[in-house]
Amino acid sequence: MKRQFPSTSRFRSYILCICISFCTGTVNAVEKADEMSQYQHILENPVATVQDLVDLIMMTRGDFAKHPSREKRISEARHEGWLGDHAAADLLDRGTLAFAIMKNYPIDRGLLFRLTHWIRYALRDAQQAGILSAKNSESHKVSGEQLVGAINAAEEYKLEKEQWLINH
Amino acid sequence: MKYTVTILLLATLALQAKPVAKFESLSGNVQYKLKGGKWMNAKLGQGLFMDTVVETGPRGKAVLIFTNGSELALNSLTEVTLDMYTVGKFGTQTVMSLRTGRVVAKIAKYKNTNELNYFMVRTPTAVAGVRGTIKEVAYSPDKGSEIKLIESGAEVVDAAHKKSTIPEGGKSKVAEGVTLTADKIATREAATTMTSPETSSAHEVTISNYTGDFSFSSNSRDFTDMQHIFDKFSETIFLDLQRKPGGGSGAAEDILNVEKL
Repeated sequence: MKRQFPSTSRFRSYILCICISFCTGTVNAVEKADEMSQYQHILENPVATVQDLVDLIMMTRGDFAKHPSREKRISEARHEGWLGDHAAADLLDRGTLAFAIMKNYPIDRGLLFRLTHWIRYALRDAQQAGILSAKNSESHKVSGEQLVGAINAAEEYKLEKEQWLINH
Repeated sequence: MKYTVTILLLATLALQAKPVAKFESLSGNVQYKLKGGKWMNAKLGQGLFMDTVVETGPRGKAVLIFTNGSELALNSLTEVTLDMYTVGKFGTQTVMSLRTGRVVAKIAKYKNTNELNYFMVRTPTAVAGVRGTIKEVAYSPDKGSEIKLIESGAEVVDAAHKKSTIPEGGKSKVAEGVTLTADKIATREAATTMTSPETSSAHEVTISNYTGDFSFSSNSRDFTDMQHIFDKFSETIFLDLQRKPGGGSGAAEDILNVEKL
């Protein structure tokens, strides 16, 4: 009895499908692992950088994988208008952090920030919302842990506000 | 004799190596490691031992279930360590450290009056011990510790060994050197609420200020539209001026120069 083998072209397509699914799975796993290792690097950083801020905000928005390279993430943030002229390697100060938070999260904006979009008023509004400590000024540097804490507080503020709008 | 000692040692190690909790549900990026070990991706049903560090990434969430039935829900951007889990005639004692983020603990009910399930969460500024069933503990370097009791009461000890009790439904905040006990928070929130023209409970205080500060219209939609128009208008003007240092009117330039100074 002659055994039936799939034709060569069909056999090739099977192999190709298996390879593609394997590669996609691997890529997804690599992306996830890359995001987590990057997050852990940010958390352990004694002084956070502007790149850390951009990466963390992109991660919380789910855009980290969309812009795989660091340069692309920075240029995207600049395009959206919440980064200013800071370089990726610049040490992150509270003013820049507050401005990025005010632009990315629905924090209550004071009249002066609405009018001027200045960093000092962004910091004041973020402090008023309880996201950043009132003890520090805009030039003070931020550690990785403080950056994660601030973004976490902003996320919670956003959730609380959304919840309130649903209930009212 | 040597064999007996070895067998006893191995038996003790085997007992110690029993998992104390497992992952009940997972979403997003969640990783764990033994202290000093390597980070590994969490899997559903994966057993966790003492001295394990669990971390949720941005958009990651996890629920751990302990062998006594207590549950611990981890919010995103949270890192906790399972410091201790002991079982005895007294019941169970669980001690955890929260480095950053927010956890909600649902403590299992004890079977008889002689047994207690004691659950303690340590943060860099406070230690919260739970007597009741559900509590929420959060810590961030800027905000300090926040302990909220959803059901029953708890006791909080701050770095100065000052003890305070949180009643059911109350919350307490421990920042650097200052403890805001539940009654002080309630007074403060009630006072803030009074400044808003809208009637609201203490929990709504943040949002009621949002509408209260600028309420020039009875229709909240008008107000939102005005906000959008105002935002777009001011952004266009000031961002354009920042991009072109030479351009713009004299008055606006003066304002920008003051900011640069």
